[in-house]
Amino acid sequence: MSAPILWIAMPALLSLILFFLRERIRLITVIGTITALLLAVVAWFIPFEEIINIGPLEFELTASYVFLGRQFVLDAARSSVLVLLYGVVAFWFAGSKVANTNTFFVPGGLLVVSLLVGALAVEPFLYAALFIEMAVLVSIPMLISPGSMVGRGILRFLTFQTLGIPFILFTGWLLAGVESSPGDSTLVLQASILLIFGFLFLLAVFPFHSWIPMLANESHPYVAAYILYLFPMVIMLFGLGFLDRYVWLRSTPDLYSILRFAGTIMVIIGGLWGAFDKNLSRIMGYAVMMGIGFLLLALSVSPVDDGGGYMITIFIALLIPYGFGLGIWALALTVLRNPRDGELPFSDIYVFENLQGKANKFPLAASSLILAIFSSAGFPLLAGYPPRFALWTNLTQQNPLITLATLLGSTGLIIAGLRTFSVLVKGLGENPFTIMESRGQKLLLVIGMLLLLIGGIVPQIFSIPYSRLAEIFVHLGNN
Amino acid sequence: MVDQVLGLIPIFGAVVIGFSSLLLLISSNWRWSIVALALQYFGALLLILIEWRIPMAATVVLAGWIACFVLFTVISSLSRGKDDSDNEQNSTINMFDISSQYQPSSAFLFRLIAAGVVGLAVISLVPGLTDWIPGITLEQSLGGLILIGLGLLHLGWTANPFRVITGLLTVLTGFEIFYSAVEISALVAGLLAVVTLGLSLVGAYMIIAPTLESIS
Repeated sequence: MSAPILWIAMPALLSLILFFLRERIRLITVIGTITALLLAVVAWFIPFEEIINIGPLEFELTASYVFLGRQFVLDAARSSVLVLLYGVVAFWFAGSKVANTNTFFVPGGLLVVSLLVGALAVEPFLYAALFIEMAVLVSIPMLISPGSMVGRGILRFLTFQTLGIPFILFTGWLLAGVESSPGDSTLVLQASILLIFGFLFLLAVFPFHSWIPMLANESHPYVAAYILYLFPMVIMLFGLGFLDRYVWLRSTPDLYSILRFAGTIMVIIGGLWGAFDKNLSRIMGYAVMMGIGFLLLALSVSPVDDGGGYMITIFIALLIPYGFGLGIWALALTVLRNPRDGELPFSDIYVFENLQGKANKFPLAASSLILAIFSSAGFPLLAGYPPRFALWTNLTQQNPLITLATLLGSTGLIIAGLRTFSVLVKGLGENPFTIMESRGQKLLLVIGMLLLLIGGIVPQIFSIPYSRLAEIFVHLGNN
Repeated sequence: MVDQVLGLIPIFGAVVIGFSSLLLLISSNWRWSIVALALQYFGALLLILIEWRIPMAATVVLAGWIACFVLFTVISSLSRGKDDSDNEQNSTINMFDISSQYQPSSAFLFRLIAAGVVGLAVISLVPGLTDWIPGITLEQSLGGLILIGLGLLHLGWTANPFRVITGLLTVLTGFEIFYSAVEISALVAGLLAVVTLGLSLVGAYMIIAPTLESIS
C-alpha cells in the first residue's frame, strides 16, 4: 500500500461518504474521530518502506505515489507531521458533538486535512499552493452557518488566501531560475519579494490580518479555531520547507529580521487589541494573531547563529500548547452559549454584556476559558508558558526590546483574561449556583484544564510525540 | 494573409479582455456581469493560446464558462422567487441585482475614472513586465495586468459575495495568462481549473446560504 493513498486519498474518500451521512452527527463524529486517531497512531508506529506482517496479512507502506506525472511523497521523516495533523484533527473532532458544530464540520474537516497533507507531500513542492487553496475552498461551507449572511471576515479570508497563491506559484518558477544561477542577485531579490508577499497573505501577517478576529466573530468558534490553527500551522511547515531547501534563503540575515519584525507586530497588535475588545470570540482571534506572531518569532531564531536545531525545537514546543489552549478556549465558548442564544448571530453571543454571571451556571466552562486565555498569553505554570519562556530567553540575547514588546502583547491578553473573569463572575452570589454543562462537556473541559495545568509543570508531555518533527528539515533541524 | 489574421488574434484577445473587465466593473446587473465574465474567459483563451496547445488552453475557458453557468444557475433560481411577496429570497436577490435601484451618474463616473487610473498604471507596467517574464508577449502582459488591476479594484470596493467571487476569478484569470507564459504543465492547468470551479461553487454556496434553513 502507498502511504499517500492511506493518508491523503483514503480520508478524502471517507469525507465524501461522511458528507452523505452528515445528518447522523453522532455517527460521523465517532467515525471521523476514530479514523483520525487511527491514522495518527499508524503514522507513529508503522514503519515506512518495510514489509509488515500482521497475522496472515503482509504489506509494505511505500513512500511515494505518482499522480498525473507528479509525485506525492510521505516518507518516514514526514510521519511526525502526519501524527501532528491527524492528532489535531482527532482532538478537534472528539469535541465537535459537544460543541454542537454544523453538519459540514467533520466531513469538511477531514477533507481539509487530507488536502493539507497533500500540500505537504506533493513534489515539486510549489504545487502545494494549489492544494492549500482547495483546502481554503472546502473550509468555507464549514464556516458559514446555513441561514446566515456571509460575513466580511469570511470573504476576506477567501480573498487573501486566494491572492497568496499566485505569489507562491510564481516564486516556485523564479526559484528554478535561482537554483540554476544562484549568483543572480536580481532574480534572488525578485524571488524573495514574491515569497514574502505570498506568506504575508497566507499567514495573515500585518497588514493582511484583519480577517482573523472578524472570522472568529462571524463563525462557530470551534470551527473557526480549527481553521485558524490548522492553516497557519501547515503554511508555516510549508515555509520551513522553503528555508530547509534553499541555502541562499536561510543564509539571508535580512529574512530573520523581517520574521522578527512581523512576529513582533503580530504579538503587539494581537495583545493590545485583545485587551480593549469586548467580544470573547474576537479576543480569540487576537490570540490567534499573537500565536502566529510567536511562531514567526520562533522561526526568526537564525540558524546561522544558532545551528538551526533550536529554531525547530522551539517552534514545535510552541505549536502544541498553543493549539491545545485554542481548542479549549473555543470549546468553552460553545458551552457558554445558551440554547436561547441560538437565535442570535455569533457576533452578538460573545459580547461581554451577554456573558455576565455565566460562571454561576457554567463554572467549568468559565474556569477552562480563563485558563485557556492565560495559557495563550504565556502565563506562568500553564502549558503556554515553558516554550514562551524559552523563546523570550533567546530573544533577550538577540534584542531585549523585542522581548519587552512581546511581553507587552502578552500582558494585553492577560488583561483581556482578567476582564473576562470579572464579567463571568459578576453577581455570582445573587443567583443559586448550578452546573449546567452536560456530562460530555464536563469530561472534556476537566481533561482540558488538567492538561493545561500539567503542561505548565511537565511541558514534555506536549512535545514528546512530535520530537521527530525536526527530522523532516534535514538542513534546519539536524545541524 | 492567414498569418496576418492569426497575428491579430492576441490583439483581439486583449481588446476583449479590456472591454469585458470594464463591463464587469461598471455593471450593476448580475446577468451582464456573468456575460462579461464569460467574455473575459474567451479573451484569456485567445492570449493563452500563444503558449499552450488548444486542449490545455481549453481547460481554462471551459472551467471559466462552467463557473459562469454555476453562478448564473444559482442566482436565477433565487430570482424566480423574487415576485413572491414577503419572501426571504427577495432580500437575497436584491443583493445581486441592483440594476433597478437608483444609482447616481457620479457613481458610474467614479468607476470609469478609477478604471482609467488602473489602465494608466497598467500601461506604465507593461514594458517592465515583458522584461521580467521572458517570453511573454505585449498582449499577454496587457491582458493579464488589466485583469489583475481591475479585479483588485473590484475586490477593493465590494463586500457582496457574488462580486467578490467575480473579482477573484478575474484576478486568477489574469494570473493564468502570465503563468501560461512561464509554465506548461497539464497538472497546473488542471488544478487551476479545479480552483476556478471551486471558487464558483463556494460563491454559489455563499449566495444561497442565507436562504438555507438553519440547522442549529
